[in-house]
Amino acid sequence: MADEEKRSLEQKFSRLEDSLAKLEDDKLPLDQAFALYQEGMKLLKECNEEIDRVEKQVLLLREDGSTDVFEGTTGVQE
Amino acid sequence: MSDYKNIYSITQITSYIKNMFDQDYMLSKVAIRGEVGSVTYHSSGYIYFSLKDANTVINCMMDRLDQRQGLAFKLETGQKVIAAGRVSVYPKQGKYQFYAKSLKKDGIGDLNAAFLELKQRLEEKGMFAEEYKQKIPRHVRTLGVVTSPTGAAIRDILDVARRRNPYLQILLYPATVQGETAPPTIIRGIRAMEAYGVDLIIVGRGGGSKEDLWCFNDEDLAQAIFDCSVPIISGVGHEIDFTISDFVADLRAPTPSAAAELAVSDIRGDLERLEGAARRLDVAMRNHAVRERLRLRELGARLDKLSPQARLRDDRARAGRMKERMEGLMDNRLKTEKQRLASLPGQLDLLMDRKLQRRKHVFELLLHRFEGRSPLKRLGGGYVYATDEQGKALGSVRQIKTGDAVRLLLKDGRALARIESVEEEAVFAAEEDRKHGG
Repeated sequence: MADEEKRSLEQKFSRLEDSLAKLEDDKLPLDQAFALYQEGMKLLKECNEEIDRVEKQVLLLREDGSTDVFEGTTGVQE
Repeated sequence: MSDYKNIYSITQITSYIKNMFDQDYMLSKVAIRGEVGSVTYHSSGYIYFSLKDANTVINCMMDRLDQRQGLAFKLETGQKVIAAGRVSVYPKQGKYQFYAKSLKKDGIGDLNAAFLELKQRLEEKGMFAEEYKQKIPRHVRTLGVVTSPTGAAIRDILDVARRRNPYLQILLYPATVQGETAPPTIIRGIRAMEAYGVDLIIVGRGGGSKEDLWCFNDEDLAQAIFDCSVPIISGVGHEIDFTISDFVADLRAPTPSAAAELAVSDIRGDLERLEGAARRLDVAMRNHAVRERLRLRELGARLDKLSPQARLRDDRARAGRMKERMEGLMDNRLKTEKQRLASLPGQLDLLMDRKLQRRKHVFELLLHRFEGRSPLKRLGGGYVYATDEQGKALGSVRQIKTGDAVRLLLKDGRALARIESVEEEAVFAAEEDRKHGG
């Protein structure tokens, strides 16, 4: 499920890099530069949205797929 | 009895003996090899057992805590084991015994052989082949960790992962990572993670002995790792430890911490990358704009240069320049001509003067000569100029007769005379004339 999303984030990053590399070419015609700039801004926004900024708690996963908040690693050592 | 200074109590002497054991460097940390004799799992949680070899036996015990950490199998009579721990005294029974801290099955040689056999077999099956390795995604949203919930590994992994990306969702499947019971729990964990749909799984545990890590050399576990559709990073033990799980995993990390480093990309890096990209985007666009503006200005200037007005202006300027040049040339010409003209009168005068003087000279010469020849010059000294009354010069006596009036011109006046007589005579006067001329 998240596979597609993260792949798309990576793709967006690499497309952003591509756009930048092209945009940084001095000989690029202005209309193309504008198009790349617009695409770059769009990708930038999308990338930014992809990076979620909510801190997460560690979840304990059970075999049946249910989860519980993991309380921590105190206790016995290996 | 007088030979003995002191008399001790049993407690005192036993304490002394116990202290001797405890102080002994070798006995305080020692490993022994033997066969398990009697075994008693006591209701208190302790295990009482004996270890023996052909001729000797030593009593042993293991407490609950040590069992949890140092015993991964059920102790049974007849097992060959290596026990690590210390030798001390149990004062209540007045006997020394071995306090086991960890127990492993003896048979490292067998284990090594089994490991190599399994490794070769799985390798031949292609389970380690590079082509089956799944790519480790650079950005994960959910990370599954299959390890002990109480071990050092999970602590290390969480430390690293949280430091690098606190926004990452981590799921932990509590598995057993030591002993014979471990592989099935790890396998269940991997499957649960796959079913949940995490992006990446870390399987591992912290450092330990070869036997501690042995569960990661399990064939079923290897198959489960190989079959898993989610990429798996293995992080088992330390750098030097290699297990079958490491070989079959999509990526082997030397330690659990390293596994976390490989699994979790640093969010700061991503954010910086985004910021950097935004900056670059801006700069690049601005550069384009500036460059285009410059080009536009340059084109404008060129266009302006080509416009009819500009051409006219240019032509005018050219004409102006030509005019100036021509005027300059004319001026110069005029100036030289003027100078020439100005110098001409002088030259003419000079020429005229010379000419005049020459003429004058000639004239004077002629005059002189004329004067020399002038009859008037000869007047005086007896010579007169005689004409008839009409003024006609007398050249011959035949022009006159007696009684004719003759006009005489002398040097200083005139006179009227009358001829008395006329006589023809010889001509000598001509020679006389010649002598006086010139």
